[in-house]
Amino acid sequence: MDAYIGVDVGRTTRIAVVDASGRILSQRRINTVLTDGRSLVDQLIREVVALKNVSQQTVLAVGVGLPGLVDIDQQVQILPNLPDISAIDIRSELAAAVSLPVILDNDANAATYGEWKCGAAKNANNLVYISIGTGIGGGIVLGGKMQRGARGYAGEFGHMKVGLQELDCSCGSVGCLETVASGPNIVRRAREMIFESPTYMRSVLASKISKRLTCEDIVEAAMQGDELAMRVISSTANYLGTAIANVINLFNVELVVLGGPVMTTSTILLEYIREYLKQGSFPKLYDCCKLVAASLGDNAGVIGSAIMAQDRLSEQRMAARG
Amino acid sequence: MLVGKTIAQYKIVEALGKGGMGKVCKAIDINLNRTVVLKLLARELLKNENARKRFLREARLASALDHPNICTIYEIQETEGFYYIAMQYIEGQTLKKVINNRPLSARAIISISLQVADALAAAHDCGIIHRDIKPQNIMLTPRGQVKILDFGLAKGLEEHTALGELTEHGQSLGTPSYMSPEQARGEPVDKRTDIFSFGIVLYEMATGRKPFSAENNIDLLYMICNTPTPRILDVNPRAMPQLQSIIDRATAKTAADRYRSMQEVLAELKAISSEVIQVSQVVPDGIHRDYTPVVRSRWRSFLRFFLGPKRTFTTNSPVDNTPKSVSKPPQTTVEQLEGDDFPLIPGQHKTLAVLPFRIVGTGNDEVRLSLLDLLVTELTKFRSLTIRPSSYVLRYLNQEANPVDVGKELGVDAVLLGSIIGTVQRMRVTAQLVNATTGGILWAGKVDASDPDPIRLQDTTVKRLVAQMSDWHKVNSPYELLSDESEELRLEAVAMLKFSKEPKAVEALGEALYDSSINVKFAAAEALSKFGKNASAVVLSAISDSLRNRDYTTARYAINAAGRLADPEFVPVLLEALSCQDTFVASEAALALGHIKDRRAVSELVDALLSNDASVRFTAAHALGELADPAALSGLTLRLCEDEDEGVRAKARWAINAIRKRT
Repeated sequence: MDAYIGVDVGRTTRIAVVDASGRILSQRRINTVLTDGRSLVDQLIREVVALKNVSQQTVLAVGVGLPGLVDIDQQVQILPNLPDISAIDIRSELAAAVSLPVILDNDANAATYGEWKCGAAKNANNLVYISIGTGIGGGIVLGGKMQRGARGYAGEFGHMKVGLQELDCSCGSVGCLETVASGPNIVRRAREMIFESPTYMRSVLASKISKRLTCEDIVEAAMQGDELAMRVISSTANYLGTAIANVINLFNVELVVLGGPVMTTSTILLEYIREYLKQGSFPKLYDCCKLVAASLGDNAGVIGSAIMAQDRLSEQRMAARG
Repeated sequence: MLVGKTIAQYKIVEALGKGGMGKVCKAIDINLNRTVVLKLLARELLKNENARKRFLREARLASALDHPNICTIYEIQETEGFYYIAMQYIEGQTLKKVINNRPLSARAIISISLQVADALAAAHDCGIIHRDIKPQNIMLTPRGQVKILDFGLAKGLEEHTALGELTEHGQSLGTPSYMSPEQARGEPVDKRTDIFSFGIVLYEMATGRKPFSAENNIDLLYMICNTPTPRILDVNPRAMPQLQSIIDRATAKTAADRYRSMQEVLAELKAISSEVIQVSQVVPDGIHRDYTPVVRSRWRSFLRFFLGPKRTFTTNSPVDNTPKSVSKPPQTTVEQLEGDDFPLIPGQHKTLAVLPFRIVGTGNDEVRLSLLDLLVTELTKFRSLTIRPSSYVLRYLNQEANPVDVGKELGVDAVLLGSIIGTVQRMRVTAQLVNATTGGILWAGKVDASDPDPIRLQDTTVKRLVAQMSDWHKVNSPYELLSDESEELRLEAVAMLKFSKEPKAVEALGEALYDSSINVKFAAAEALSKFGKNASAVVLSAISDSLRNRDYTTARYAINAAGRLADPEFVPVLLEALSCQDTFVASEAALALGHIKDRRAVSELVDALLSNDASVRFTAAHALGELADPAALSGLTLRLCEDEDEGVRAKARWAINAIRKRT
């Protein structure tokens, strides 16, 4: 059986063998080496080769999703949350090591592809997928085609400007959506607020302040009616809803799919976002657009990378045949 | 010009406003010697049979209601070409004015909403719908008692058809912002329309704003029919979350989704009232508690002059024992108490003009001028007051002057005006002290006095009036309030002391750091920051003492004050606190060191990045970002890459960006 390897790089990297229908046949999860870019790439190559070698299927191509800017020449430009690998030609090195075609893309584009081809957005022709995790990214499909923009950087939802917040962003700008609504920044805001008012001393989050605090903790507290947590979730939804409203108003998409680790834990956030979205978007455009949660969960990236590699290989073969 | 006219036994003394149906005036019932409100059907509407029917129906329905929170109707008459309704004159302010674009306190919201709900429930039980519930139609007396006005649009449940006749095609009764969707669409309504409007009023009390606003009524009505009511917490994060579900259900777009009756609303409000104000007995007689407007902190001291303290203040005249205040008195700061013997008017150099009082009923100019001179003479005894001489104000003898205009013309901060009613032996004087810049009432009071000797009567009256004004501050010492049992009053005391320049105030606020309530501690820390270096010794001592005694809650807020004061003298004690076993103490210490920006703290803050406590790592990263010292970069980068807590990683990223930007 033909298969494809999909890779989703993050602080934890997932590598999976996926069949042509998007089913995961085998996968492994590794803690990404974060010491430096060279070590990160070496680890990645080592792990992909190992998986290919043990796979019982015939692997035909490899797709890699990376959390940063990947240009149309398949060069990684920026990985804001990981060691810098921009000087390394990761595609060539990996292709040589596995002796297979390799395609690189932004991880959110890969997840978009996964949801579009095999998940919540299957059969939709006009959609956006937004992933909310360590960063915020996304992909755009219009007229049945993935939109990558002039240099391949389209879909940087996390860097939409959302208003009053003037926090410095890793992109060098200020006031980006990501600085307030990404997973780490949701936790950051909760931690900050605990010190803002004695009222929040009653919050269950205040009682956990010494320990590791996660978005899941905040969502759980919000669902129990915790005031601080509800404020954090509500304001996060406000930022996200406002940004998504702009997207809807701009593209008139039929579907908005929300995925990524933060959304996986939070149905309450989706409901809040829906409210703000309704307020911020043009009614006609809102009425013809559905807001849904991603269905592939954290598999969207590996599945999307693999299917993207499969489709690219098919295109190349078709082109070769003339 | 209606003022001065007499209609039946009512002498009109003041025009109060103009509504859709006609004019509203203040009048004196000459027979009973009481003040009333007269509602007069507009002359131009007199020929309109429908309007006349509606006008009379209002009175008939409203007079059927007997409830402490509904304005009493005295009589309905037609005379001399006027239809009029005489109703109870209520001293106080409309809820609209009380809200004044600011959210009210939880206690005030509960008190007011319980009374409004109770009144509406009673009206609905009688088959009467108000149809125009809005803050402008809700009066609050100085005691905090609600009185619902204007059943002018009320519709008897049994009169559905008749109303249809009265309402012209396309004409919706009610006020757009508070209309229910069915009312906005011009559809038949029932008591659930009042429930909707009540929900909107509740929203406005909780947030200070209306939930729907648009540039024109069409858009507004569209929003009312289609846009969900926004969440109160998004507008006012300090709002009571418990109100949200009541507002949501009360303002449901479909009437069927709302509460079925005001009794249901009342039950829910009562349930949350015990949580919020910890009072078990609510609305036993329709009168609950005094209302307490909440103000934003930066306006707090300024507005205190207008809104008054939270304690129920009533000043009793020696002549009779009824409460005399008609508006809440201003409070005073320590600064004013020490050097200021007339704290009612804010500011250090204040000027006051006393206008000739109006004569209501029989009387003559001699009495007015005599009282004017007496008042000017009495008031000149206040050292901090400059009074304009009587000759300056005689030009206003026979005209109704706007206090703000008078303020401009005479260059004064405040204007004292009032009215006199009575005979040579018996006199009632009411007076208002009005802020000449804003037009707001700073103080109001009245004196009833009688004496067979007219001269002694005037002397007594004036002295009592002035005594009322000068006595307010005596019940308001913030130093006394700091030891009050009520946390709310202690908070108020801290707010009063915030702008004092008295060393005594600093000491008192230092003591407040040891208060049993963290809210008071927090407020004291904030207040102390206004004193700059003058507060450093008190704060330093509080930190050292509380750390020594392991009173970590006090230590935390004392450290918070230190951070606000940003005095480098605190660095050694804060570095000590940074290693405290209490998370909050150590975290506040880190934050304070960041505010102070003293580089002596860098290395210890970098060490704190390795703490086992996530909060300490988080606040240390924040402090290092504020310090922006490149020496912290490697420690922060390690946090960014390795910290198990996402918040710490985000903060480390922020700090790294801040350092890179600065260097």
